[in-house]
Amino acid sequence: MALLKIAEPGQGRTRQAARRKRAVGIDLGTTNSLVATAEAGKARVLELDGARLLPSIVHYHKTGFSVGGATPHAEAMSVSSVKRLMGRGREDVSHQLSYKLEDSTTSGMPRIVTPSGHVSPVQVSAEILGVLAKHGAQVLGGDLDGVVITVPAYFDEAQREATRDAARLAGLNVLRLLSEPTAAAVAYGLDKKLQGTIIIYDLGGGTFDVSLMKLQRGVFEVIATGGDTSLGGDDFDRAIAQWILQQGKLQTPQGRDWAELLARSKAAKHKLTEQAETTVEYQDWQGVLDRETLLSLIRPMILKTLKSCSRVLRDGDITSDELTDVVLVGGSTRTWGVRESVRDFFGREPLCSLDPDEVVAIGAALQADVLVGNKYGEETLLLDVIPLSLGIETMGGLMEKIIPRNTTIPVARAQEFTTFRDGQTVMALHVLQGERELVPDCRSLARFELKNIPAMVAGAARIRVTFQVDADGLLEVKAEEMVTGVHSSVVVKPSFGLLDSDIEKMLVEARSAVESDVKTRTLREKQVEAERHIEALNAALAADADTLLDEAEKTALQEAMNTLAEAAGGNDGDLIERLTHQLNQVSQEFAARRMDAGIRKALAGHAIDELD
Amino acid sequence: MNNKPTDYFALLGLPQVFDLDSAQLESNYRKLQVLWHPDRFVSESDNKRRQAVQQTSLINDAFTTLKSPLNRLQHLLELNGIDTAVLKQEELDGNFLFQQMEWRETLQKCGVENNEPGLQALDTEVRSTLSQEQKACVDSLGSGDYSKAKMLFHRLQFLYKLTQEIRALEDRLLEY
Repeated sequence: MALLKIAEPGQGRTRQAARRKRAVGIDLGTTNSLVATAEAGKARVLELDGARLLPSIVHYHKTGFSVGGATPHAEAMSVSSVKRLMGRGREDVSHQLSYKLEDSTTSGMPRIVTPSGHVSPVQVSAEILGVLAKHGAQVLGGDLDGVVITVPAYFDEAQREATRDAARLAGLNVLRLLSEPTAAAVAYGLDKKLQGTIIIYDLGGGTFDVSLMKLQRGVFEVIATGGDTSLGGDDFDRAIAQWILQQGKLQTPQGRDWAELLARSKAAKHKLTEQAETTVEYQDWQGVLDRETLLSLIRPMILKTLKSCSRVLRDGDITSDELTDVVLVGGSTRTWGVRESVRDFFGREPLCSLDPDEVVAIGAALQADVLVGNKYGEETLLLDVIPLSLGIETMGGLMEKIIPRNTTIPVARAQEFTTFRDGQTVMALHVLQGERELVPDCRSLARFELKNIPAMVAGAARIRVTFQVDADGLLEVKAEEMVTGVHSSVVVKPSFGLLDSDIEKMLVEARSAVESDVKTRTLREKQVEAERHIEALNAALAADADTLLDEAEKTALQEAMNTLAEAAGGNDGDLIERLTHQLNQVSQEFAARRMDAGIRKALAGHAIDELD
Repeated sequence: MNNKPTDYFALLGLPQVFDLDSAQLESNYRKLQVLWHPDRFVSESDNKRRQAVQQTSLINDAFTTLKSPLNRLQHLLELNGIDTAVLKQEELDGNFLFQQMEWRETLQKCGVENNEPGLQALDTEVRSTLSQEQKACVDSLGSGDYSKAKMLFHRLQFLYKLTQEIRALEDRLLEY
């Protein structure tokens, strides 16, 4: 199993590489995936067996599997387009698949039936990530310090969480989940010095995103985003396949035959990028597909994307005349008719000077290099938004929005609710995502209960529900009873994610295969965490101890640090954890004072800068 | 825990006024974001990362609040100890209530008749009233007349809600 990154000591390592931190950007696509690296603002896509695009396909046979385009085992079953299943239930999959799905007992996500057993979409994605990361590590000459993985901007909570789980399963340290259009904007901003108000139109194999962004001097700000996470070039192929079946009066084939028909349809689509018509053969049938017919087949889907575009313009309160540029991203923007439709809609020639297949991976690599700590030049700042509103079910089956869509992240919002029965001690909470008013029309993310509420009369309890979305767009929900000070809090994971126990189990299986050990890993993690903490605090003390702390406070902090430092040298993970927590408590006040001082400093004396 | 609201003006280093310099607001916001964005703390301790997320959440909230004239006004009143949630009978304005009803009727009619141009005209009228009321806010706050400002807040609140409903209807008429 290729689940864990394996160190390749010494291979290709140069002096310079040894000093730099190793990071890659990964574009985990529906049909193809890429890995890229960057150094000092210059990125390059890495080649795998001579190709830059790795087909996002895993071939499973009885005794194992292989990833990508290489000729699979004779008995193998190929699993493709798995990105469409991430964070989705069986009922969400409306199109025909070339493989079978079965419900899972522990997660809302279905399992894929393969000759080597049932696999989750998360596992399949992890295999693809594993291959890309391993290759990146080989090229860079050692273990990766971190990766940036891109996700469609329009991915909801469950889909992001599933992607995060796949990365964990592959043993990767995720620096950031980055929206694909934002990654593309970074590439254009840094490489082509693009500035102003722009639209990124990103049509991939299985997903469509459109983002309205403001780019200025290193700041990449998403104003509004829209899209469809199940619309892409794959759907064009399916439309062509249906046309072929209709023309030849043929039955819809199953399994491998269906996959074969799709492959022919895709080939015909590609041909039409270069020429006006092409001959298509399938079984005994033969016919001609021309551009006009192609356009009539895919026009409804293109119109859907343009509708998202107008909504984003309206959300951003802007007209297309006010745009500086429209940028095309994603391999499917090459399909004949797409570029033309976008041009007509926005009334300007769209930009695609960077390869639409590679631009997302390039942006991810540039950002990975910065995030991992390889500093150079101007500082960049990415301000992203949540694509869909987050809320909670209230009485009468209504969705009450707590954080509206297009809110800049990170964000925290709280709302108070109360009990509606006398003596009620339990409150059920249902977390939702979507724009519609009725609960069944929104995506259900999680259900949880706040227990042990002290018995009171109806309406007396004050339950504060807090939504916190981090910079990756991942949500954490907490509920607390405020009146009595009895604070119960719960952190939810979307019900489509894997259970922590599932991940643990898969990790254990993966590790035993490479003779690793969970315990050592967790101990090491705790040690690293403690060391980081001490290091950061030392730096903070050196800078601000004299101005912000008195002698007694200094001594107390120093003692807590010394105790932790000693423990971190030993093998008692629990003790390290406890002391880290203790140091946290002791240093909290100091951190708060530094934060205030930092804000004062940042804002003081900047009036003159504003004049330039 | 204290119940005093966080002063978002102070947090963003701005004077406590309604008539805010929006360029200064954006520039101060960016500076604080650069300072605290979680991207700068990726390889630091969990504690530090959590702090960064909390701090930027607060900064984002402050920015969104101050950017919107309505929320800015509400925040200003709140900081001056005025509760905007409660409106007393004598604080209602008869003329404005009448105007409200008229606008609502027009909106409804446009919906029934699929009258898009009529809706655009209503939109223009409401927006122009909105900007007049905002100017009035600047004046009454400048002279320290908070009860007038509170009344204006409730007008603005209605007007903003109406623009949202106009937009929702527009969406429907244009079939988004």
